[in-house]
Amino acid sequence: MLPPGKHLVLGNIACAEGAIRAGCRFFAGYPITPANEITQHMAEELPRVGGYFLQMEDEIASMAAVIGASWAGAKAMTATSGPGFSLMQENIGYAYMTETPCVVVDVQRSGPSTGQATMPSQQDFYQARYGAHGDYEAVVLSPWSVQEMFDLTVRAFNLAERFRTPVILLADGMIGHMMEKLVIPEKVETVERRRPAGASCTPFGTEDPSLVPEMPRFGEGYRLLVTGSSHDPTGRRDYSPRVMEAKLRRMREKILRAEGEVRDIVEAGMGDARIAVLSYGASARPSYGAVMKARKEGIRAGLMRLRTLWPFPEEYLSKVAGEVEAFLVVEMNLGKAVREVERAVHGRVEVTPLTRVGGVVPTVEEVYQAIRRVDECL
Amino acid sequence: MPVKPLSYYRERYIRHQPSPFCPGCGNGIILNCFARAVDELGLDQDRILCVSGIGCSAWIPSPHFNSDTLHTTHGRALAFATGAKVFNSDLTVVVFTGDGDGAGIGGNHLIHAARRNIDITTILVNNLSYAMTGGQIAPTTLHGSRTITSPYGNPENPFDLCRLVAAAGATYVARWTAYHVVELTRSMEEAIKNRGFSFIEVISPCPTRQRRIFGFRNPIYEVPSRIMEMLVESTYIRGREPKGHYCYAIPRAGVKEALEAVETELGRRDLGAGVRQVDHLRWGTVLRVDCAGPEELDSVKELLGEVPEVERVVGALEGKVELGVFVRERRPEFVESLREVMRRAGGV
Amino acid sequence: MNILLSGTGGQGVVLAGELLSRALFKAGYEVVNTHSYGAEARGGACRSEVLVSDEEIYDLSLTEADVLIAMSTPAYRRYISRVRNGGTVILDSAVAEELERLGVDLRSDVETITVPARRVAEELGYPIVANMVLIGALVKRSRLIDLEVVKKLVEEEMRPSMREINIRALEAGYSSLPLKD
Repeated sequence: MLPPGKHLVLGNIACAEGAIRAGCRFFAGYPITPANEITQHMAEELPRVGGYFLQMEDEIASMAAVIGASWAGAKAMTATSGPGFSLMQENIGYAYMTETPCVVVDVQRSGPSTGQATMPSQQDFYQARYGAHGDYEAVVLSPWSVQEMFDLTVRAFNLAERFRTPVILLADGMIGHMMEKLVIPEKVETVERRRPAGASCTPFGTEDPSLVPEMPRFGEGYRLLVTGSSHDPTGRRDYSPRVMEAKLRRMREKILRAEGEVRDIVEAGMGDARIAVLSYGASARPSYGAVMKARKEGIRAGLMRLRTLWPFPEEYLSKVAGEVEAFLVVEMNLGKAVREVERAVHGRVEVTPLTRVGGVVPTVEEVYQAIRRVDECL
Repeated sequence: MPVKPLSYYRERYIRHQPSPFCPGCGNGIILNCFARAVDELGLDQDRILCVSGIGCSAWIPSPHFNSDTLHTTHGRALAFATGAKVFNSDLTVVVFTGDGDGAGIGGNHLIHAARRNIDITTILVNNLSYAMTGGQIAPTTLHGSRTITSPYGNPENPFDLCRLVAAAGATYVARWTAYHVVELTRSMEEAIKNRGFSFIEVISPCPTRQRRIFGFRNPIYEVPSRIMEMLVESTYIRGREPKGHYCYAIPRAGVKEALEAVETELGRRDLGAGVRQVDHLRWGTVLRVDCAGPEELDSVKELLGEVPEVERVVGALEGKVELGVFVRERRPEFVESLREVMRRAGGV
Repeated sequence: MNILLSGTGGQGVVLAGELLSRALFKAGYEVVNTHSYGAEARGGACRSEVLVSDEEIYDLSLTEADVLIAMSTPAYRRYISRVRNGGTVILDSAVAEELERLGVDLRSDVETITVPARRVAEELGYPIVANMVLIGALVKRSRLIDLEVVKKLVEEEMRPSMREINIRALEAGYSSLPLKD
């Protein structure tokens, strides 16, 4: 493990270091480019801190093992990329249904299918939200630097424990494979799941205003009934419409009720902005540079960088739409977040996409020129 | 083995719920055997974790068995179980799976769990098809069986699951049927005691689906016992070869005609051998001819060869499924190995 | 400054880029280091990009390199167009000779420095340290850091048997260039 202080490290290593400091003591994964360094670092470091590292036979088994370990009491994580993320979806859905806290890292690569294994993209934006079948709310975070690979992994674990939900860290091959500075603090704030107090517990229901039930674990005499089937608050199978609807609505509400706290947007220059440049992850880097360059040229542009992608900050963006004259959405896919922005904006202002696929990160110059074009049309 | 009253097991080990199992299903028997095995071992019920996938067998522990239960996704029980067992090795982890769930979609996890020799007991209920969803072919369905996805006969061959799992590295491998309750219970005890991957295949009746697969036209309430008799007829226990001198005559066309013809022939030659219709997993509905001794058996075989309604004669042991304990070994166990890894890394 | 190191897989391009990045980081610069290679472990094209600045670095893509280090001819041909007008190219002499043989003209708008990296490395007995020779030359030419910082890093990070050789390679590369004003 790296000691507290300043280091020059690979993004993927920063992610693994963050996980361990957040309390992760179980990792199950499968080899896949460009996430391998996370798996390798966990293999080396977890046993040193009394944790367990497993290389499973495939991604499906990896996700399953993570859930099993979480119910045995572990803060558990897996890491993969597009093809593996697709395989994991069924079990991710199981984690939603059983409200299992866990962290899934998707270091996005260019797809679909095998695609460009070593090159980055932001194409899994919707898959991270809707990849599993059924209805559920997702919490998805997006780091833009090596430092955030550390910080947001810690945040991911804390949110998972707080809301009893899987949290997805949507990284990309660019940030994962680049070396940049990382400052490791002396201490890291961690959140623990709410454990049952007494001899009995209701694992899937609660009176608590947070709507998050307490989380028991195996081996403590609760004789738990955990199932992916529709169930009542005790865990007993119940297929009746009323019970299933109540469950789904509570699961949804537990996240949306706290949207204001889960929301995480870093803004620059938005105070007087006429053009809001919205971006996330790797493409937010050149977007920032472009906004600064534009402002130097007198163009009133501002950057809205999403660190939490889901729940998507619809309401907040809707408010911003009343204050700016245009949006420019920069992302490395054929246009995904831009659709959510359009939805939030509801036609009140122009929304322009700047999309790049093929495994390339946009350049400062490209984004700057796009800002200029938007500005000219104002 | 002392047997306590039924109510004792029910109160202590079973969650009170109406059972969804079909009448004659083998699942209830297997649940009973498991409860007895657990009781016999004196296991701490709070430390038992039962994991299952999707299918009828998955319902044996979930919700019926009164312990921590984890009912997961189709085929993946062993992977979930691995995570839980590794993180808390105090748990006694038992996986209940079916032939489709465990050897079809779950086949990969089955062989890898066996390879790792992780300290988990897997009880695989083999009812020869995907029963819950209507009776489709499974990796254990016999060649030629008619099911809803093999209406012209199954073109595939079945696994020999015990050989598969043994080859993959399991350190306790056994096969029983739901008929052999005493052996099965004892085997479950041994399996749980084994510090490594234990695998028990239980060939089990499923009157609802097997009725069609085996072409049993009886009223449904007669089917369970007919299947049980078939299971007894079609299996033998290693080391306990069947006594008696008999053979099977496979009819060329109809069983009734063959039976009449053979009876007539036996009567004509004044042989005391008895002939009756039996069901056999391998041969179908055939005739069994029991003789007084080996010489009579030889004469009968010769005689049967000349009866035109008989297509073929097979020996008593031919085509029978072998039951018993096939593997009892010691290999490095996975959780122990992980502890050694931790020791070397300095994390203990 | 944007520095692009390139060569074929197996020449130690990625390692050199990492070492250089660490040295610059230690000296207090902001550094971003990315690399990419073909799927083959040996023999495919390979590059390492070192972005170094006094301020926060936002642009991740190296469209224009200030300095290009080319360890092989295919690498040179692939990346020469990325060098900005007025930039610097540091070439292995062997590559320069090969380009001449092939009749490839060097760009007139960039400074081309040739360093006998392969030859020096072979004289030292370890062809693998040709990359270090080029790093030494780069350190001299760029004047971003002292060679001592890089040497110290080699002392700390490389295994004992290779330390001496790598340091001598660095020094050889450093001294092969005249001090520029």
